Amino acid sequence: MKRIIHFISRGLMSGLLLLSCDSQNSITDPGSTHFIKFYGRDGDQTGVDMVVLPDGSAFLFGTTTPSPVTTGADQTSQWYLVKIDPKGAILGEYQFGDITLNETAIDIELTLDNNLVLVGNSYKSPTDKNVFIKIVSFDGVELKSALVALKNSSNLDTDENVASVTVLSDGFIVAGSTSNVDLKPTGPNPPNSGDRQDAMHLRFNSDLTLVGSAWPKTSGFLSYDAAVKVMQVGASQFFIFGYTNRVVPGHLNADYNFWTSSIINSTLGPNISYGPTDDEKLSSVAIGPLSTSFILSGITYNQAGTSDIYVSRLKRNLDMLASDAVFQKPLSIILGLNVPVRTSIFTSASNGFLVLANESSTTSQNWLLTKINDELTPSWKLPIIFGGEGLDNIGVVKELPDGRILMIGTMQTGKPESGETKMTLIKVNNEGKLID
Amino acid sequence: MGKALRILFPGFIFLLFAGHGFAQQTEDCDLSLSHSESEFNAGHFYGIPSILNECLSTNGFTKEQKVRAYLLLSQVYLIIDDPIAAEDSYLKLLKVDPEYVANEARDPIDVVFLSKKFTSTPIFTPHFRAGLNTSVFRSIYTNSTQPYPVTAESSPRFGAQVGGGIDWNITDNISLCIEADFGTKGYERVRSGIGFNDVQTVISNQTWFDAPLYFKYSDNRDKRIRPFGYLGIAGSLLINATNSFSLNDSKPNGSQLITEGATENVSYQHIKLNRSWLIGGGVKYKIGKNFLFADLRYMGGLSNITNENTVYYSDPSKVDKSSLGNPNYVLSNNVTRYLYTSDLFRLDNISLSFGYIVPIYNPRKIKVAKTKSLSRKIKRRNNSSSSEEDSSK
Repeated sequence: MKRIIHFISRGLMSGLLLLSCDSQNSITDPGSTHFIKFYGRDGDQTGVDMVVLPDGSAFLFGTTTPSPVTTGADQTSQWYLVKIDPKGAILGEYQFGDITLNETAIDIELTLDNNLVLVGNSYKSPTDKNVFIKIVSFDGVELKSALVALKNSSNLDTDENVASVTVLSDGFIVAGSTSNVDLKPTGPNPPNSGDRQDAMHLRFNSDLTLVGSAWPKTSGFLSYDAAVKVMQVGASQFFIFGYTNRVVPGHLNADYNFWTSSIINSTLGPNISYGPTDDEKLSSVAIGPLSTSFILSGITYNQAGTSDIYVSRLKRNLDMLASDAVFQKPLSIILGLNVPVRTSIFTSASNGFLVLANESSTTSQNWLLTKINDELTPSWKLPIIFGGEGLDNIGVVKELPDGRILMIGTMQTGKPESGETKMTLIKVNNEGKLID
Repeated sequence: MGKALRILFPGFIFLLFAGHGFAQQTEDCDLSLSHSESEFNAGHFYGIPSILNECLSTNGFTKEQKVRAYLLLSQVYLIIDDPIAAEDSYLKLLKVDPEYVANEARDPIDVVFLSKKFTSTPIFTPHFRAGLNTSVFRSIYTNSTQPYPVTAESSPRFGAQVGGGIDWNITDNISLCIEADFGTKGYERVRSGIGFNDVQTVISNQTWFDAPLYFKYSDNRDKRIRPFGYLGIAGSLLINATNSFSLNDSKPNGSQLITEGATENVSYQHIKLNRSWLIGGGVKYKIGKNFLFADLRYMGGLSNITNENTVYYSDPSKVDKSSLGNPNYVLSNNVTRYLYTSDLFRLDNISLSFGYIVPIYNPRKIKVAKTKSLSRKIKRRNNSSSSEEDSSK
């Protein structure tokens, strides 16, 4: 009896000593390794792009639109810049734009002198968008700004769609597309010839003045042409990445295909478009490992309207020949109908590439994250879906130095029919999961 | 009517005579007990067992009379040098009144010595309990979807618990107790500052199975009200957890847009096993051989009960496996709709229970009689009385 009591007593006392309390001393802060954060006060906010600094802090870029019940002057959409610490907490919130106009955010990049260049559209009207570019400091102070409104040969305002900005040693190049089909060096096509949109590649000096007239502002064919990104590959050599629906040799009809072009010494160089007979629209470009290739991602739409992610790996030195494409293929991930032309591709330090896209395989539209290997084949067994009710839109994906993945975009919150959209930042582990 | 009377009348007559007979017997037994006590005082010991025997065998004594009778028999048998019969009588006394404790002031010293050979302390004492409780939310890490400073407040919510346990009485005062309790617990968490000026409310209701193990000290002196206190540990199993969410979006014009929905089962977002330390105490109120009790208990949760691996996600068992993407990692509705993720937290619990104790008395002879303290006491008393005599001389 005594032995039993002694045994139980000792067991109980040992148990009490061993029963350590879970506390901050014994558990790692999950917020330091993974999180999901929603940014924005009242109204709707979107997230489109971000810049991550070496110390882990970041700048998130998007658009803020006040709640419909807002009264007063400030009822327009403005650019929304958020400075955050590595855990996603806000260090500063800034808005930019003309409060009498709507502005939408498109792209943000770090400048060579440690400032931020922001680009987007400024809406004169729903069908007359202009190119809006600003340079701001890390403290959110506006340093320079420019608004570019192109005019066609009839001196009428045209509609410009910004896609990206590229930082050069002496300025910037804003890529996109424009309804101004008169500006291209080859001159305007005949009226009603079907030339709807040309690729736009505006070059700015560091002070945000446009580079002289020698630089080709646009390029294109008798078709719908759009630039997505311009890459500088030499002192005076640039590659333009975009898409076009001009008729590709071997295709019976016009369909959208990835398109690469070049500017050499301010002169348009050779170009090529390639792809299957479905509609492939490019939306993201990354430089491959060791800068030996370009990785392109976009959406391919088949005749039935369903979509898939389409990726292409091009060699670094483009000859503007079909042989430039080392790999090009759909990922066989059925994204659903009416998926926006938006993807983001990022070169992973641990081989392969991260790809972010939208999917609408169910009643809602969500983010889809997957990883592909160097041969552009999915290396994750299943993609990971992020989102909830309503329309969620991706921004970009980036990999952090520790291998974790950061994604920005927009998510619908609250009631689907009356809730708000919020700029959303998700930090996940290297498998795309919200776990340590 | 007449038929009914024919049936009832004989019954009435029977009850009348039976009652009269019982009263007559009680009166007789009362007389025989008085007679026995007179005989004892007169030194006529040998006839006493036969005088009492009839009433003891026919159950004619009241409980109090039985105690007096068996106590008298114990004394008689000790005097006539029949220790086995004395012990038997004292054991019967304890069976009648298990809580009877002989004391030197009231009982002859030889009976007190005899009593030290016995105990009636129950080996096991079961009890049943029920009551109300409230939980205390102890955040370890704030796990918020918000980049803004958020203030969180918890409001008490009441649950109920029911259960039972058994005490293993190691000594007269110390027992090792184990329980099995089912309880509903819950908390309400209000976070302000969502989206800078919105408010999010989460009401959590949980069902737990608790298995406390603790050492209890009880004051078992012969009083009607007896305090007790205890300290121990508990293992708990989360059976079910549901959350009700509400997101109150305050608009600049003062209007509010409230997002609410059906209660969601979030059991999978929790770690099912919890450990706790516990401390408590209360009072027992004696009713007959049994007790009513009131018990106030604090259980301090030791475990984080939020599952970090699932707190952001939907229940995989409810995700359509044929849908696109990994079904194990689909964002939960509470994240995107209500902007909610649970903190990592411990859950403490304060409960007030009322219950009923049914001691399983087991009067028995113990192997080693505890007479040392009594001997010391007698010795001290003798010494002091002899010194008083010396001083008076």
